Parts: sequence; structure tokens; C-alpha cells
Amino acid sequence: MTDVPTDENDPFAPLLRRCATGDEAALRALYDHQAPRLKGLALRITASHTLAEDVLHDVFLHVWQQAAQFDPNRGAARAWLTTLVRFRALEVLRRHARERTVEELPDLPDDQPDAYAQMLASAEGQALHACLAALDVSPRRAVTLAFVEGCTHGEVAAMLGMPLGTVKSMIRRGLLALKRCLDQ
Amino acid sequence: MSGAEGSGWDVLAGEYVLGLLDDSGAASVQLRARTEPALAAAIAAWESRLDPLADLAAPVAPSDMLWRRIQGDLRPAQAPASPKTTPWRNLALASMALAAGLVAFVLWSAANRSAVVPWPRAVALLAAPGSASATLRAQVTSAGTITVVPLRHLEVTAGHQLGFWAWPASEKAPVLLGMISPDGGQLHFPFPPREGTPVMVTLEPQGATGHAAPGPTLYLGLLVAGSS
Repeated sequence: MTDVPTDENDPFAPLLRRCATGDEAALRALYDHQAPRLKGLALRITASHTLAEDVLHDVFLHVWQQAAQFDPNRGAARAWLTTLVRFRALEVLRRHARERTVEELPDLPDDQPDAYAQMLASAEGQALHACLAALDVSPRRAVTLAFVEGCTHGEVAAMLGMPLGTVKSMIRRGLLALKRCLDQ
Repeated sequence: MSGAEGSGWDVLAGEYVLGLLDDSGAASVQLRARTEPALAAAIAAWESRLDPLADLAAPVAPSDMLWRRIQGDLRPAQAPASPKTTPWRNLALASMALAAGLVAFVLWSAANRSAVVPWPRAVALLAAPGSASATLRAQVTSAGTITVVPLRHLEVTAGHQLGFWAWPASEKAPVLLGMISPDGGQLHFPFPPREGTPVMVTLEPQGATGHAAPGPTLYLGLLVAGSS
């Protein structure tokens, strides 16, 4: 395992800068520290170990080729990696035309209180958790299902037993309420 | 567009980051974010705000094979190559690739190429986001024209027309070359035909002027070397 940078604000940004210079050890260090987290995320969306590893393969190659494109002014390296993995996993899911049934979808995070322990370990996670808790239970679950499980509007509607149009407007209102709360 | 400013961007950007937009909607947001800094900023803000939610997915150890597979596909000379001259474009290609279905694999591959070499003839097969089969063929000739031919019947929504755009490396945003009919058309192509240049057909309001940014993307493709 390679050295880990200690930049308090964004510990993985220095690794991306090194990747941009062709430093393979930096990519390996990034992989060692982020691959388990990112595979867990890809697995929640694709529900397949094979597809989840395909996602990570493509994303780490993309990072290697395009690390110079990472802009620290736009956000943290961790969030950049999260976005790459989520969008790639969603694309893979759609390419395989996986229309998931309610039975196939994982348990709601709200049903697994222990799952919040890691999220609550950061100040940003605590703030988001508090603002999510201020929402009604349905919009909170809808936002969580979309982000963590990659659910479509239709899948969220099926999970919550609500009409599609209601779910769409509920998510929009929920997003605005979250933004107001987090920006305070 | 003014109606989409303010909190409108926040909702659209939030839905985009949640992954709730369809392929066409997501591609449109990505292209529009290139020319709308407020939209790009709203997207970045949602990515940061929601990132802690990713911790709800429990970590899972990757297989021993995965790193070897990644390492085997690394191309060391590529990393520092082209980004100095066209960083925005590679990023745009990659972000388009993330939402454009099977077409994305072509874009993804092209974004990772370093050589950009002109040649006398270039062709592009354009496919709908998420579709594996081409809907149009576009060919650039050395005389500076591009001929667009549909490979199947095209439907155009009432009150709309089809815009044909190119995004050469020299430009910071897609350039509208003109309108085509459902039967295709021939347009002036005022750029050197270069490998990897994105071309796209969009849905534009009938009679609209200005076209500062593309409408919803219907078909996407990349110029590649033609055989003749």
C-alpha cells in the first residue's frame, strides 16, 4: 500500500495531480483507498459484482487518462469519483436494460440504522443527515433511493406506492428544501 | 431560458445529479452546462452536497483480479498528452459518454485517443443516446461540405426542426452548421475534418433564431477516417 496524502481538506486531490503526471503509484494508492467504497456504491446500483467491477475498471482508466481534468475549485476529489462511478453504473444499468422489480431492490437505508454510522463520521455527512431528517419520510426516502440505489422515478414510485407524478413533484420540492437547509 | 434560472437550475441540476433524467435530458444538461456557468455551478454544488449519501453503501472489497485488469489497460504515455490544448473538450466528451448509452463507448474511446490527424474524408455514424444502431450517416468532403443522409425514417416533432452541430477542438461550444430535413441535407463544414470531432443532431424550435446552445440531443456521433 502506498503513502496517503494528508491534505485535510481533500486528501485525494494530490493523488489525482500525480496521476495527471503519469504516476502509476498514485493511481494504485487511490485505488487502495477508494476502490472498496466505490465498488460498494457500484454494487448497490448494478446489483452485480461483475458489472460493478466493470464500472470500476472503466472509471479508474478514465481517472488515469483524465486526471488533469479534475478541478479542485469545483468540488472534492471524493465527490468527483462518486459522480464518475454513479453515472457509469447508471449507464451500465440502462445498457443492460435492467428493469428492477420491487423485490430485487435492496432494503431502504432507513431500515438499516447502522448504515448511517459512516455517513455521520464527517461534518458534511452530519449536516446532510440533519437536513434529510427534517424532510418528510417519503421525500427523504425518494432522494436516498435515487442517489444510493440508482432508482428511476418509476422505481421510487413503486417502492413508495405513490403515483409517478406525485413522486416527481415531491422530489423537486425535497431538493429545494434540502438546498435551503444545507445552505443556511 | 430565463425561466430556468435561479431555483430552476437548482432543481434541474439536482435531478441530474440524482440520475433521474433520461439519456437525452442528461446529455442536454451536460451540453448546456458548458455554456451556462450557473448550471455548471449548481451541478457541482449538488455533487458536493449529496456525496455523503454514498457512505450508505457498505464498502465491498474488489476481487484480486480487478487491479491487474486495470493495470494491464493503462497506457502510460497518454496521461500528460492532449489535455493541455483541449481540456474542456475531453471533459465534455467524457461527460457526454457517461450519459449517452452505447454511443458512449465510441465517445469514451475517442476521448482517450491522443492523435488528432486530418485526412481528406471523414464520416460519422450518428445514433440516438442509448441506441446501438446508427440513424444517420454524415460525410465530410475535402471541398468543405458535409452530407447528412438518414439511414432510416426520421420523425420530427410538430413545430420543430433538426439542427446539425459540430464541436471541433478549436471551439469552446458546439457550432450550429445549419438545419437538415428528415431527408437529410448538405451543409458547409468550415473546419478541418479531424478524428474524434463530435457531431450531433438536435431538436430545435421551428423558426428559432440565435441558437446559442443546442436543444435536446437526438443523435450523436464522432468523425472517423473514411475508407474513400
